[in-house]
Amino acid sequence: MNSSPGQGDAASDGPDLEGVRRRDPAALAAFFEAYFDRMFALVYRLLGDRTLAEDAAQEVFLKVHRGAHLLDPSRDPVPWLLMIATNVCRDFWRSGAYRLSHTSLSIDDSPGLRETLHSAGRGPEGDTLAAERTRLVQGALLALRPPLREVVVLREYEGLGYDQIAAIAGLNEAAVRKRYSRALAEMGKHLKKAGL
Amino acid sequence: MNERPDEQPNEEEARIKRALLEASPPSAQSSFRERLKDSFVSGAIEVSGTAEARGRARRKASPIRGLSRRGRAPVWIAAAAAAAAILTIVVGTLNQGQKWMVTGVRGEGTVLVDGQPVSLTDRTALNQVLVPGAEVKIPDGVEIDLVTGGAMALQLTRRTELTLPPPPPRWINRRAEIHVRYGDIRVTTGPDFHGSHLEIVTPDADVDVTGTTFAVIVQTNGTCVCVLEGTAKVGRIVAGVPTDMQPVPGGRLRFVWKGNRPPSYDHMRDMERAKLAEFRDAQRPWLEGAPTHE
Repeated sequence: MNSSPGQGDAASDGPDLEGVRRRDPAALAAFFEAYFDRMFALVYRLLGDRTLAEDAAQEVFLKVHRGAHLLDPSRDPVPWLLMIATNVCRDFWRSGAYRLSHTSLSIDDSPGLRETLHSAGRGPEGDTLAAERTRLVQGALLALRPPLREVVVLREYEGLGYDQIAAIAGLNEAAVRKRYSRALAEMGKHLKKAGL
Repeated sequence: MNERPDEQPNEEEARIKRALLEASPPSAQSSFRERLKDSFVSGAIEVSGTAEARGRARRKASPIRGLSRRGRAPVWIAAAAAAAAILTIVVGTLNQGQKWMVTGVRGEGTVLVDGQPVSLTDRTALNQVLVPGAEVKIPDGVEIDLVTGGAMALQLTRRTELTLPPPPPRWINRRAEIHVRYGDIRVTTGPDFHGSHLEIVTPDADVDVTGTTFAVIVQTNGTCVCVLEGTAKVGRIVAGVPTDMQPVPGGRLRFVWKGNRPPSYDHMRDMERAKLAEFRDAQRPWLEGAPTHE
């Protein structure tokens, strides 16, 4: 699980947010290095498709670039980034490209997942098993309706609390808890069906 | 985190959480990562960002992608496809409607755009951030008027939360869609809207219009659609699908209740009628040829 996004001050050893506000190239490069991988993993898990995830990541960083002057250097930028990334994914869910990609592909047909594996320290057999497991888990995640998937991804992979998810999803906390519980129940069924 | 002290996952939930966390994190291909980093750092992303993304989405949907990947397509097919893609992008770019422009601001303080406060007195900053896809939250006591060319004017009022839509395209696929999560918005269409189609989606209701002046008021107990002139089709959203779309003529309202209660019809309240008329009249000069800042 990633570290909690924090609610207060920006980490003192993080990127130079004042520089990002000024769109200073060195600060933008450090900002990109600090957050790109996390944002890419988030949008990939939410969209389940590499091409869409690349498009979404590009949209996220475009919005960051456009809104850089609005950054508050005294605050952690992660909640802002998470908000942008989830909003971008919601736009993608409504789009024709997303619908097309999810009617033409089954969850068993997820090219690219295998190449995402971090194989350090595993033998070929371990790699294969881990790849298969990742594929099945991602398949079960993709089988959830997007609003349920969003809650699971934000909670389990981004480590957000219910109140933080509620702020991002525009819901109240009770509704988020309900969605999370329903999502886990559905995930459980899909994982069982997949033999996990 | 805001865990309840007694909140412990049961055995089944713990198993699912373990499975999720054991899945390897997806990572981007290094070539894409480097390309995006370069364009982000240099600022080129501002120019190429959205158009490139759309272009790639279109390529993904095209069967030509599969052919070229296998290297089986003759060169002339690839060239024709490239020309078609360029033409599509050029036409797509030209087809885009005019940008949103702020024509009026009432109230004091800030408005939240993509989670960041923007001063209401800084009209330049507002115009920079109020772009399609922006998530906007309007505080109490604030109203913002926006116009896109001669097509449509939008008034965002008290506690409105919405995603700002792309303006209706100029010639092809002339559709626009606004997602309103909460609050009041007023919409009036101009001469350039002719032939376009606007859909407004709220948590409870779907509004379908082809040219009119109306208000959409999203409350905790449902959505009220008040039509000043023209006709709007209003229905309820059931399981994400608009149903029971009924015409609402000028001077009437339809309230779509949350839950199973059937929608109500009524005459429009005088106060909303006056506000809509005032909004329409104030935006008319902008919609009928006032110079824009394009």
